[in-house]
Amino acid sequence: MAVFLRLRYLFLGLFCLLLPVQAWSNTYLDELVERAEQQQLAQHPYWLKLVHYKPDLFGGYTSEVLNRNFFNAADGPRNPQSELNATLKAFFSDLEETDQQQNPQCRFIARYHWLNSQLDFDPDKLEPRTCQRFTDWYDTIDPHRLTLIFPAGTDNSPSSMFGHTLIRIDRQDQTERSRLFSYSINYAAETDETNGVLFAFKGILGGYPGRFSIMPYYDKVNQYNQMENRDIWEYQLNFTPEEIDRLLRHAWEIGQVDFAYYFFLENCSYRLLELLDIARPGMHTADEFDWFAIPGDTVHVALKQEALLDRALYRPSQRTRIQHVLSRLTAEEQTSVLELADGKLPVDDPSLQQREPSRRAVIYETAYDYVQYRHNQGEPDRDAIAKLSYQLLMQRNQLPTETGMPGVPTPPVRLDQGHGSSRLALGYVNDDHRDVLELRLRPAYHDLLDPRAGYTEGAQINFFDLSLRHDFDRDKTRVHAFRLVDIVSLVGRDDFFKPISWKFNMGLERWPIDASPDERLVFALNGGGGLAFSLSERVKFYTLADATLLGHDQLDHSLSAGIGPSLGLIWDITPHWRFKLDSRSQRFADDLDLTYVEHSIAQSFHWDRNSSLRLKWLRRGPDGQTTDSINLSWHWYLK
Amino acid sequence: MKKLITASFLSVMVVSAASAAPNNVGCGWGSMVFEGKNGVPEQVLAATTNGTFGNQTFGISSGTAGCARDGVVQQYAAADAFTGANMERLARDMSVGQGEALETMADLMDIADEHKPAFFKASKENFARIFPSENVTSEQVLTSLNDVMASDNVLSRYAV
Repeated sequence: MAVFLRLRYLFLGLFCLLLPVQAWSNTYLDELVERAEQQQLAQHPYWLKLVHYKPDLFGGYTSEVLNRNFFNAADGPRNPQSELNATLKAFFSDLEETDQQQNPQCRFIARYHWLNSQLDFDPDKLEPRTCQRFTDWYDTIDPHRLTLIFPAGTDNSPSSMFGHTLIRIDRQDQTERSRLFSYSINYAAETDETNGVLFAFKGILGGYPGRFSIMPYYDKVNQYNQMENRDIWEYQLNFTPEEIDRLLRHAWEIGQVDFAYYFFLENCSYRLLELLDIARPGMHTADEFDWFAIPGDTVHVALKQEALLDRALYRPSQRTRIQHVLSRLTAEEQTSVLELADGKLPVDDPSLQQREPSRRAVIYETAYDYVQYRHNQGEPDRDAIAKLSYQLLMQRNQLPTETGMPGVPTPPVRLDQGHGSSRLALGYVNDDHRDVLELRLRPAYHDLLDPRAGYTEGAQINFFDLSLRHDFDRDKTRVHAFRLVDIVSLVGRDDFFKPISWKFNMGLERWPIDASPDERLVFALNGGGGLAFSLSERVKFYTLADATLLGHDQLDHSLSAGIGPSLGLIWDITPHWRFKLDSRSQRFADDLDLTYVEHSIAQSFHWDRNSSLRLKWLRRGPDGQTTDSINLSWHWYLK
Repeated sequence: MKKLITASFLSVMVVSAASAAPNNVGCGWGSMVFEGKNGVPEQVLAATTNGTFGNQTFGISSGTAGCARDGVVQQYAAADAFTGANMERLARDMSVGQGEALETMADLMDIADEHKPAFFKASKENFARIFPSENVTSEQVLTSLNDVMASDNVLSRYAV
């Protein structure tokens, strides 16, 4: 179907190319083309932005749009000048608008408005067309204000670990209480891929087309807040009505075209910045990003550079809301909620009737929310859930509206106010009594010892973490480790929420696989799953079952596998001081004859969002022959 | 705006009345309350968030599809579409007598600010009538809600 649709638009595109021919001998067109060339409009930054031209390796330009029908000239994808001339020519077309086709003035309505503002079209010589479909669309959306929407990341899906950004177009008459029915513009990879890991890998390589779409905000809220339990931040931006119109006209123009979607740079956040740059000419936020466009960084840059922010609102996820209410209930009340949800306690049980009406109301509401939560998490018995949900609401309905339960407090630090996601670190290591200098580079994104404000608690996601070490005693510099991916998710379990904790990492590491004094740089893949428990708000304990696969040509069959337990503790002594203890052991298959152990105690301190100090003691090596090291390092966080 | 919405509500009723089978309004948004949403496999699918999936995609400037044109729901179907997609939340808000889904519904029906308290109160007091069982469909909800408003002194002006 999608292929068919795409073909259809391709043909439509050809149609657009052919029809304007009748306007060929047009002296006014010649005049416009000449004036545009005199004004050098084809090199104007705004024209380059409108057609998504980027400088290419050969000193020219190439558009990032993949569809032919986005261009009026045959060489339009690579030639801003001939595309501009052909666009002017197309504006003379008398093509009538239908459900399947548009006049070029409407199809390229952003270009039309901009070129008109530069060339001041004479309406007698170039007849302005009525764009009824665009007008209807615009009136339905009823644009009044732009709000940037930022759902937090979720490490349980590799494709949305860093979070996501989209734009909401607020209606004229909407209030904060009725913002569900406004429209949002979303840029995403087009795919039917259901395997998140495969999606991430293919996405990194640009294997999917990316496309803009529009949908009611409640669809996105249902998806993020309800289904995926991601908190959302809403940033109301101070764009003027004129700027909002520019954004909508361009959204209309690129609504049916594909871009190549790249997970790290040319992703949702990058394209959204481009859209904002279109709205406000002279703003160039997208140009700030060359390698990685992490949603938090893009929001930070946009808000900071352009002072775009009017106000920020926090919209907690369903799980956050349930946890907040539970934290304000007594242990007995919590038990009632759980028993109601499990169907162990009848909804009209006399023990409930004895409670205050407002407390009963909260218990019924929370039981309902929790049943819905479990349903969203995949609990299958639809009939039982529907019946119980309905009974809970019928009980709740008998009680007064007001319960006095306060809403979830807004976190003091927003998602865009966390540390920059690139990190540079310099450290001194005393490695088994040798003096070593260590330099580390990590382009993205966050580990468990980084300043945690603005990041998802218990989630570590590192990409391309490179460690170089210089040993002064041996006067040798070498790669100590290059971790391609390193993900850890430690989420505490309780009576209501029972997440699995897990980790996965892969890359090059030093391992004692033979007798050589220099440990070998081997390819290591490690993963594990287990449980985490919060002992208090500040202390979390975890235990995982681990498996490791090593690859090196010094090994028999070039491979060896090991398994063993790992456990640890994270203690937040103060909000700026974290203590972390780790211990693990891996027993390898007989051909390697190695029991590898690793124990560490680490502490990190930070004073502001962009630097931190770490001290780590590490004992590691083959069981019985371990060596100790102490590492003191300073970490800088960039954009 | 006001006229449009009033006209729109009428159209919803016409569309609803015309559709015999549940879950088969003209727009395709009709749904049962507490409808089996998504199981685990679907959730994993939905969780690959930065991707969109065939039937969820609403193309901008894509032409007409059901009650949507160029990616946006046409005015006459807005309340219908909203109810269909938010049944669980609307049911909760109506049983309580307040909430975001209920406020949004009031806006979609163009209820003036001074009449909103009456609308919230009527929704709560008539919850059992608007939601007579767990298997009620969104078009039944809209029809009963309209009946409730028609028999209310303040709200009858918004009924059709």
